[in-house]
Amino acid sequence: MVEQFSARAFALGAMVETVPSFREAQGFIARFCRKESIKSAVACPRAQTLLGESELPLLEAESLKDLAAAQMGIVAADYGIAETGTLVHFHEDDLEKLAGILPATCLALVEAKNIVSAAEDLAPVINERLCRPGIPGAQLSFVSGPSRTADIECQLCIGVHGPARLVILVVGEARK
Amino acid sequence: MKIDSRLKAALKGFTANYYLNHANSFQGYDFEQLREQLAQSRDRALERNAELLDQFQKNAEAHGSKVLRAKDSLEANNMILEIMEKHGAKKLFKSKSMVSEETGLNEFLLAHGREPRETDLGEWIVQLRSERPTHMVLPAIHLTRNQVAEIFASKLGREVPRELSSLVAIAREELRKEIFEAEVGLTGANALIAENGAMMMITNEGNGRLVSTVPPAHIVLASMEKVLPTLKDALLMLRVLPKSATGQVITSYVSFIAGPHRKSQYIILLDNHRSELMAEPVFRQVLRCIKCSACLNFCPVYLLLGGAEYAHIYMGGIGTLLTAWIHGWRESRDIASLCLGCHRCEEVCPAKIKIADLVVDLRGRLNQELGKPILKSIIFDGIIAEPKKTERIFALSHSAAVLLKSKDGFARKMSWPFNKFDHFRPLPAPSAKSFSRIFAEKFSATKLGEGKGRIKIYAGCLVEHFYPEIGIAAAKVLKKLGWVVEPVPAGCCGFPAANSGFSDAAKKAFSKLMENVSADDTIITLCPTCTTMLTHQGPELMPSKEAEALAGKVFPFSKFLSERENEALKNLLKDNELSHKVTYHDSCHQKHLLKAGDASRDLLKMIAGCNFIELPNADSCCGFAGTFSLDHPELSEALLSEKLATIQSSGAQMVAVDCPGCLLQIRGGCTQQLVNCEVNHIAEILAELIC
Repeated sequence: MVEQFSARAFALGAMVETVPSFREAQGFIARFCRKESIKSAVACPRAQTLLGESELPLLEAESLKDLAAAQMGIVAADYGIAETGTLVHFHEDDLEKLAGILPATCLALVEAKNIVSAAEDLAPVINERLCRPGIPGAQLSFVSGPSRTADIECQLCIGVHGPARLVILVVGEARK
Repeated sequence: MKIDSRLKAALKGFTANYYLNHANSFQGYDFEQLREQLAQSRDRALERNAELLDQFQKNAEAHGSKVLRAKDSLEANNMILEIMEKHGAKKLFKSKSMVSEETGLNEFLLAHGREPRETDLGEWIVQLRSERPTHMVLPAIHLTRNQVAEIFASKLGREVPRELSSLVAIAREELRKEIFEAEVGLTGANALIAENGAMMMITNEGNGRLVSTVPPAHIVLASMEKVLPTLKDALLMLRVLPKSATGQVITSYVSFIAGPHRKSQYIILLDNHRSELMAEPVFRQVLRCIKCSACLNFCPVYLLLGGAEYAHIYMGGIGTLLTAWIHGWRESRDIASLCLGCHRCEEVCPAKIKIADLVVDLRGRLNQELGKPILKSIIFDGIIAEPKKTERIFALSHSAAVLLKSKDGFARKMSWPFNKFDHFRPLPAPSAKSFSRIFAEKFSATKLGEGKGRIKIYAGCLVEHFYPEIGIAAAKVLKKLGWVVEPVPAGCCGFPAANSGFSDAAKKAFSKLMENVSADDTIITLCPTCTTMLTHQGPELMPSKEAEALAGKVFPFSKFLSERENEALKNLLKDNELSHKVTYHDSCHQKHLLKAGDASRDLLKMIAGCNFIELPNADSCCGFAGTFSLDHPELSEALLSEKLATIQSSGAQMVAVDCPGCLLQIRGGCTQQLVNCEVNHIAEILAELIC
């Protein structure tokens, strides 16, 4: 399933890497930032927790403009869908949601054990999430590849209103 | 109707890729099964619409959204204006919303001193140029990058590079300059999920996510048929929609929003006469539409005209149907004549909407609501509905055949104002004798043996009166194969009347034809359109046991031979293979309704062996389409030109057809444009080889 997920996500224009642990993920991110000269990145709180102590050049984003100014947003996906190479994000708030949209590069972490075969497999958890009583603002997103448009001359262009680059780090071992 | 050649070329370029991607994206899925599931899911949702809307409203309100119900466009627009006032907004940031086009929101806001700001790249370009979208998914498909650069330059007051990446970067930067100050954003919704109160929005660019998340207030403008019972229904739609729309397995972004994070969210549910449409037993399935536009991408007329001409607001055949209820009968009348009735759209519609059939039903409805067009009324009610009169007129035309014929064998060219019907290709002259008469002379009863059994030929009007040689050829072939052949007495099947919405006239013609056949007859047809009248439309118009029994015993000539006489033909053709390069043009009804295109090809491969070549875009209409070529000669001409161009480039020396209408059109076109290619009915080709 992880293989199918990676192949599909790659076909949609995402860069996909597999790492054994979050510690390794941190190392990968640090190398990636150096290689791509990324000086400013923001990480949503979930990604920060997952990555643990970090030496990454993370900015504190307090406003949307801070987010938009960052070169990279690091986000944590809750699930992956193998059929379509899709990341599933359950959003806690708008800043976290926009951390994956506003910067030109989006780096998403997804745990291999959370990759499922089809969207329908997630129907129960999605419904539970969308129906939490008393908690307003239940939102989630499916993200498949970078932002794209073909509105001019039917030519595919990436990065129109969202990130031009999507990097997916698949972390850990697949579910047995 | 105006054909914009640049738009036509752009649509052609787009579809070349789209067809490939569309087919690839459905690979590994059972398309027929998927669309059956989707159609059922949509029907279940439509049946329970009122109840589901209440459930959705309750759940959405529990998430903190405010749900409003708008009866019509004006109410919806006023609600949006009020929300903008409440949030002190001068500008409305919009992601793509077809429903806002339907309500004329942008014009309304401008008239009230507010500024709509489209954020989808294509919509923004079209808005800057004060134009209308020409495609549902690609609104600015009619423009080149240079035109886009020009309009950006005049908007920004500076020079703009012409590279695509720069143009896209400008769209990104400009929106980001404005959106952080935005007060209100508006999006559409692809689905409203009743069981959890969430809306689903499917996008690619990411502007929908900005518009729904960044401003402090988010308005969702959705039409009432968008409500679905469960998340699973929405996921099924998601599995199908991107594949049908753009040939993508999935789009970049799918948002599920069940209420706002610390901000205001308004959901406007728009009726705009959809309740009335929902109450129509025949037409209700129009609301199954998920707005993917696959039907448009396969529509030969849309691909000529694009979505500014072939639309009121909603485009193409499906748009015509929506328009009739949403915007009114009058607004739909002109575009209702643009459907060829080729039924190509029905093969790709992921919700299995019978678009072409419904447009015919709509024509009937428009005749009732707005009155019948006079000329058609004279022809259909005055002539076709009176089989005796039809017969007399044709008899007269046979007597006058010599006068009507010019030296080249075609009919004399018409003079103004009728020359628009034949200036682009000559029409056939009536033959001196009808098929029935020649048949009676050639194959007198004494010559009929008992053979394999008796079989009847229903020639149809074109063969009976203009191309009797096709009927004779078919009779010879069948006789050679050992059948005892006799013709069904002449008479119109009623299709042209039915197709123009004159169902009473069609019923009269069809019942006359029914009198001339019995349930024991096996009937061979030489025209796919007559065939569909006998097998589909006729029995639907006049349901009876006899009509149903007859429908099962009607066989198109090629299909009958290919399936029943395969071995015998192989023997007869052993040393007689056709030596020309021959290709095949799919007649719309043969391919899309009778599903007999493969049978014809099998037969041709038998006839021509390796001299058979495929025609590119073989199943795109030649432009005849019966009354269509009289209603829209300019479009008929354009479709014919495309067909001739593919024929010429294929290098074929002969085009085989199953339909005398296609034969009329393409043979006339080849003659007029000096394309060195014969056009023959399959019966003629076979008779030449084996009789």
